Amino acid sequence: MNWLGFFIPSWRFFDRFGYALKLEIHLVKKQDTISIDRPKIHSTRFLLNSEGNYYLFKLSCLQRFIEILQKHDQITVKQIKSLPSYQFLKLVIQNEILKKYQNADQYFFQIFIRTDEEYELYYQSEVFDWKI
Amino acid sequence: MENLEFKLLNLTLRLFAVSIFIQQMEYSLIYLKNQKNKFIKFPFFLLNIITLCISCVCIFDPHISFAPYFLASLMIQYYQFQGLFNGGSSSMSHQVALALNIGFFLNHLNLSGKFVLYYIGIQGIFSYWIAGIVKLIEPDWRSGHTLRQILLFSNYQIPLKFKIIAQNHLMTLIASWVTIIFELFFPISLLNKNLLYFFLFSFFIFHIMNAIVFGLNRFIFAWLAAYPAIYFISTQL
Repeated sequence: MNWLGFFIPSWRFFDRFGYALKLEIHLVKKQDTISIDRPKIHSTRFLLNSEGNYYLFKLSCLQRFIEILQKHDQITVKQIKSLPSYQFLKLVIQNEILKKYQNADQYFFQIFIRTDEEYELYYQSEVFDWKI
Repeated sequence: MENLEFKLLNLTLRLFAVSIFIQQMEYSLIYLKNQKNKFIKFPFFLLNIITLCISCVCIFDPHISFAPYFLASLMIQYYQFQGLFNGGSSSMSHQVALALNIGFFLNHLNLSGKFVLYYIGIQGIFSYWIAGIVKLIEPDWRSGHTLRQILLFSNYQIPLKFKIIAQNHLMTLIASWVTIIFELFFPISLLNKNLLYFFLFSFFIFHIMNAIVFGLNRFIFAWLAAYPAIYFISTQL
C-alpha cells in the first residue's frame, strides 16, 4: 500500500478530463448483470452525500486499477491477480453482488471506458468461483 | 501564544472537527446501508462512532490534544480504503491533521501555534494556486473543452440543468477562465485584507457550487478549516 498519498497531497484538481468509467458484473449461472449505478441526487447532498461519495469511491477503485494497467502494458494475468488494487476491486465487486444475492456461483466483470461519446470495453476479468 | 494565534488555532480546530464530523456521519451511513460489506466492518463502524463523538466535543470545546486521535483515525481509514476515499478533501483533512499533530508534539515550545497555522495556510494557498497553474497549462482548459467534458460525460452525479448549461460553449469558456484566474491570482490577495476576504468568500461560494453541481460536499469544510491559517499568513506579511 502506498502511504505517500496520505502525507503528500496532490493539488492538481481536474487538470484534464481523463475518462468516465463503467463497471458491469456478469453472474454466469444466474444470467444476470449488475452495474454500479449513479445514486439519485438528493437536495440535501451539499451537506451529506454518503451515497454519492461511496459511488465515487467505488469508481476511484476502478481508476486505481486501470492506471496500473495503463502504466504497465506488458503486465501478465498472474501479475494482475497479485495487484493489491485488483484484490481490493474484487472486494468492491463482491459487495455489489452481495447487495442482490447471497452468493454468485460464478462471475466475471468488465470495465468500460468512455473517452468521447461511447463506452468501450477496456478490461474483462477471468471467470471467478464464488468464495468468501 | 499570542491572542490572534490562539483564536485562529481554535477556529481551525473547530472547522476541522466539523469536517471530520461530516466524514464520519457519511461512513456510518454507508455502513448502515451496506452491512454485508466486506471492507467496512463493525470495528470500523465503531471507530466512526467514537470519532463522531470526539469531533462533536471538539466543535464545542476545541483543544489540540484531540489531534493525535484524529490523525490515528484518518490513518486507519486510509488503510481501510487502501488510499484516499474522497480525493482532495481527504488530502486536505490529512494535511490539517498532520500540522495539528506536529503542533501538539511541539507544544512545549512556543512555536507550535505559528507552525501549525503556517503549514496549513501554505497548503491552502498551494491547493488553489497549483490547481490554477495546471489548468492554465492545459489548452483544453483554456478553451473550455475540459469543463464541458467533465459536466457532460464524467461520472459525477450532475443535475440535468447543469448538463444543459454545459452545452453552451460560451458558458463553459467563461466559467473555465473565471476558475483559472481566481485560482492563479489567489496568492496576490494575501497582500490586501479586503481582497483576501473577497477571494475567500468567492472560494467558499465556489465550493458550495461544486457540492451542488458535482456532489463534492466534503470539500466545503475541509477547505474552510484552512481559511483561518490563510488569514494568519496574510497578517504576517
